[in-house]
Amino acid sequence: MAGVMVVEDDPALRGMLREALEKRKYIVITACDGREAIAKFRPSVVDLVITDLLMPEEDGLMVIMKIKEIKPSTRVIAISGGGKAGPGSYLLMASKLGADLVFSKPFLPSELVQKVKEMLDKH
Amino acid sequence: MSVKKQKRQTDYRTSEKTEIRNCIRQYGKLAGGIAHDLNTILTTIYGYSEMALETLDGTSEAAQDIHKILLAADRARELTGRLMNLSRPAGGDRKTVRVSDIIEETISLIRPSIPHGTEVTVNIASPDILISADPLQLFRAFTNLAVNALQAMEPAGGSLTITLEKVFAGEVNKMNNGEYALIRFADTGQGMDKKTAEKMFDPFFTARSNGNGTGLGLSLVYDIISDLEGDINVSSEVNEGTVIDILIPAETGKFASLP
Repeated sequence: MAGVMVVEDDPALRGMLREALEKRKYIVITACDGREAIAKFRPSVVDLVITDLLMPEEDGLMVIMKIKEIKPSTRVIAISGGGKAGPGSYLLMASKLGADLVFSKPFLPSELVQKVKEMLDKH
Repeated sequence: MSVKKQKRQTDYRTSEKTEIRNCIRQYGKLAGGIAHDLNTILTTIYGYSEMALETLDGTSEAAQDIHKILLAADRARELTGRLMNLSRPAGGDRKTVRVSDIIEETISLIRPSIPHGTEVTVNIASPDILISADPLQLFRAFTNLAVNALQAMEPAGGSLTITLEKVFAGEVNKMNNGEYALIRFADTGQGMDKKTAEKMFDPFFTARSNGNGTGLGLSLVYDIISDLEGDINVSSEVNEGTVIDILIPAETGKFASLP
C-alpha cells in the first residue's frame, strides 16, 4: 500500500486529510511543520507528500527541495491559502522547486484525494 | 488664497493621503493573514462535509443540511477571495492599455445588472488615450465604481454617466505636468454627506446597511489608482448624486501603437 505524508500546521486540516486518505487505505504519516516532516520522512514508505507552504518551522518550499533531494521520485502536492504575496506567488515558487501539482486553499479534499490516486496509480 | 496657504493645504492633503495609503497597506497585510487562516478552516469544513455526505442517504434531512453548509462555505470562499484582492502586491502586470477599451469591458459586465429605471450613458471624448496599467486591476477599479454608483441609485433608479477625456495638469487638479486621462463616474443617486465621503475609501467602511457591502471595493479602487500615480476626487450632495473623477497619467506619443 502506498504511503502519503501530510505536512500541515493546522491540526484540524491535518486530521481531516489524514482521515480522508486513510479511508482510501493509504498509509498516512503526518507532520506539523517542515522540520518534523524531514525528520519523519522515510523514503521506503512515503511515495507522495502533501505539504502546506506557509508554516512556522521550515516552510513548505524547503520541504519540497529536501524531499526531492532525498528521493527525487517522490510526488509532491503543494497546498496554500495565500499570505502577503497571495496564494499564486507561493504556489508558483512551489512548482518551480519541483511540486508536481498545486492546490490553492480552499479546495475540495475529494479532488485532492482523486489526484493522489491518479498520481500514485501512475507511479 | 495666498501661495503659502495654498501650499500648506496641498502638503496637508498629500500627507493625509500618504497616511491613508499606508493604512490601506497595513489593512491589506492583515486581510491577507486572515484570508490565509480562513482558507485553511474552509478546506477542513469542505472535507468533513464531503466525508459526511458519503455516509448519508442523499435525500435525508442531514444530507440537505450539509449541502447548506457547503453553500455557506462557498460564500465564505468568495469573501476570502475579496480579502486576497485587498492584500495583493502593488503594481500588478502593467502594460499600455486603451482606457476606452476598459470602460467598454466594464459596461459589458455591468449591463445585465442595470436595474429597470436606471440609465447608463458613456461619453468617450478621447477614445485613443493610453495609460500604463494592469488592465485587470483597472477593470476591477472601474467595475467597483460603476457597481457602487448603480447601488447608490437603488431603488428609485437614475442615471450613471461615464465620461473619458484627455486633460492637462492644472485644468482639474494640482498634478505633475503632463496629459492625464480623466474618467468620470457621475450618478444621480442618494449622494453622501461630507463625513461619509471622507471615509468612503477606508478599508471595511461601508455605507450600506443591508449587509451587502464588505467595505473593501472602494479601498481597492484607491490603492489601484494610487499605484498608477493617479488621483481621485469626489464631490457629492445628499439626494443629488456623486461625481467621482479618476485622473491617471497618460502615455503620450503612443496613440497609434495599439490595434
